[in-house]
Amino acid sequence: MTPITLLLADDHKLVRQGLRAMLEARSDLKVIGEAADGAEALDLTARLCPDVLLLDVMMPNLNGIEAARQLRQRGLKTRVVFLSMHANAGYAVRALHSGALGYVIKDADFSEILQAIYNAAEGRRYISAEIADQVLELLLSNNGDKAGSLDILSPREREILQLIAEGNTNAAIAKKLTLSVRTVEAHRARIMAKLRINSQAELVRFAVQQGLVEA
Amino acid sequence: MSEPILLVIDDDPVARQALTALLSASGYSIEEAASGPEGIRKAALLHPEVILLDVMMPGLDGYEVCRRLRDDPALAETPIIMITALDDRESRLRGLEAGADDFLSKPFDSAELEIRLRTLKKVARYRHLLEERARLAEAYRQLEAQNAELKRLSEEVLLVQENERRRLAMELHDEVGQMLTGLKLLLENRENADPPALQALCGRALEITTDLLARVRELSLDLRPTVLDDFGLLAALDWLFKRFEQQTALRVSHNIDPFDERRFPKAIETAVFRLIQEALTNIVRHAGVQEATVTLNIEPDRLEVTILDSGAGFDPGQISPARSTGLSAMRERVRLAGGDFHLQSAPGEGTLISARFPLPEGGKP
Repeated sequence: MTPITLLLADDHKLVRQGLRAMLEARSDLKVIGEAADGAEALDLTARLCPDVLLLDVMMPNLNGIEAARQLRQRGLKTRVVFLSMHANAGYAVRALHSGALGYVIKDADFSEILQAIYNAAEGRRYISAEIADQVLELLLSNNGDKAGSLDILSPREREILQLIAEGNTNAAIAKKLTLSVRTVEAHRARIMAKLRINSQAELVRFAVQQGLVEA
Repeated sequence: MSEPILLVIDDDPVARQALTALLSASGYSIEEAASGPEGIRKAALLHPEVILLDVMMPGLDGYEVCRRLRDDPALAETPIIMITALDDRESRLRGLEAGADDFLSKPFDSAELEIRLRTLKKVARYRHLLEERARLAEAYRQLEAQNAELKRLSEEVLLVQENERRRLAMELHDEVGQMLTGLKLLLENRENADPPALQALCGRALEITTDLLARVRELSLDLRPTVLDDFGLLAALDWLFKRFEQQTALRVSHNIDPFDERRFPKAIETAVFRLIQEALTNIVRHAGVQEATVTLNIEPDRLEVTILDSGAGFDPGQISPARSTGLSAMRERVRLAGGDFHLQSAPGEGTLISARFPLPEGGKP
């Protein structure tokens, strides 16, 4: 069986050396090059056509995520596995969006890195166990149903939303409902949090969609 | 500067004309009033530098007009010269009593008038100087107060910075340093270890290294989360809320889209992140609730932040010095990034913190 060919891209030489030593101990893997930044990684990938590119997320001269994006745009067949210091779902999701198949935390067990490489070589995904849950949660929490329906608002909040959508300022609403301006401000914040809306224009659009005010 | 105003109050048009002619080269701009009430109105409106006031007028006489002029605090110091036909002691005494400063008798003597006015000009100049001095003294006092506040704030900043360094030094020395020492001692044992012991030793070293990595990672996140620089404020806030949930059980309801990569000026991103971090820490420590609401209102010309809890609240005028320092640091941070800071709280009524930052044209950093 021919070994899987690998390119290592990381701006820390010590990390590359450590990885290389571990990887080369295996007969089914072959490291064919090293890159110290994103631009170099892109260059070498185009020239050497490795099966899998192990890519650091944040590097000088073109970060890893951008490098992965460009790799895909150029139509290169090399599969990408991110190796990252960031145990952070935000990084992972962005990395996967860039077209990578794997995201592994650098200090995860070495077996995870191997698994990610084998999966990638076969075109399958792999996410470090430590952040897999967070990644799913982040993707699910943000899936489509952005603004909820009117039902999640209290009657008072619906009333205030309508007044906001009709163009009243906090001060005017406070006067109309004989509340303090700060109380109106607090209601407004709760409405925006419940609906996951973060601008006046979106609030108005939502109120119109829900038939709370005329367009 | 325009010419100072001299107001002539006299019911006799001939006398007014004569005075106006005499004063044409005096350097004053002349205003006339034909009766006491008109004179009082014009004086209040124009704030003349000198008033020439006729004693003998129908209706309100000169004495009464003089008294009423003196009742207006703005005119209390204005020089009033009374014009009297009767050059007698009694009318002068009455004039002085009513608040007149000097007298001029009819018919007018131009030389006399000139000398009187020259004296008054000198007096007026001194009065202006005194006022100027009072203004300067007030400005100086304000400046000193601002200076003292600035000094207090920079001392606070230094103190906070020093405390932070102390904490970091302790963390590095007590935690990271000790773990590294342990690791080193362990590895130094390699020569007198047989292969199975060597295996065990390496296993232990690996464990310590893993702990060490986690420790350093935490430390670096505490200092400044990289996500704030790499992906911006909204991604960083999403991360911050999740971290609060994990570490403190505080649930934050919010309107932040973690994949919104809109960027704001760096100073504002940092200020908003720290403001929210500090406010949430306060809620965990003092509010006694496990829920908070954080919203951003992102408009083309401004960014508004609201942090809300329905917890214990407090009287902003009556809090411990440490907490008050924390709050004024928040306020100062917002101000330095060009924003306005508001805090509303009362015992039992929760706390509302809001800040508004103007955004540069086009909304780009």
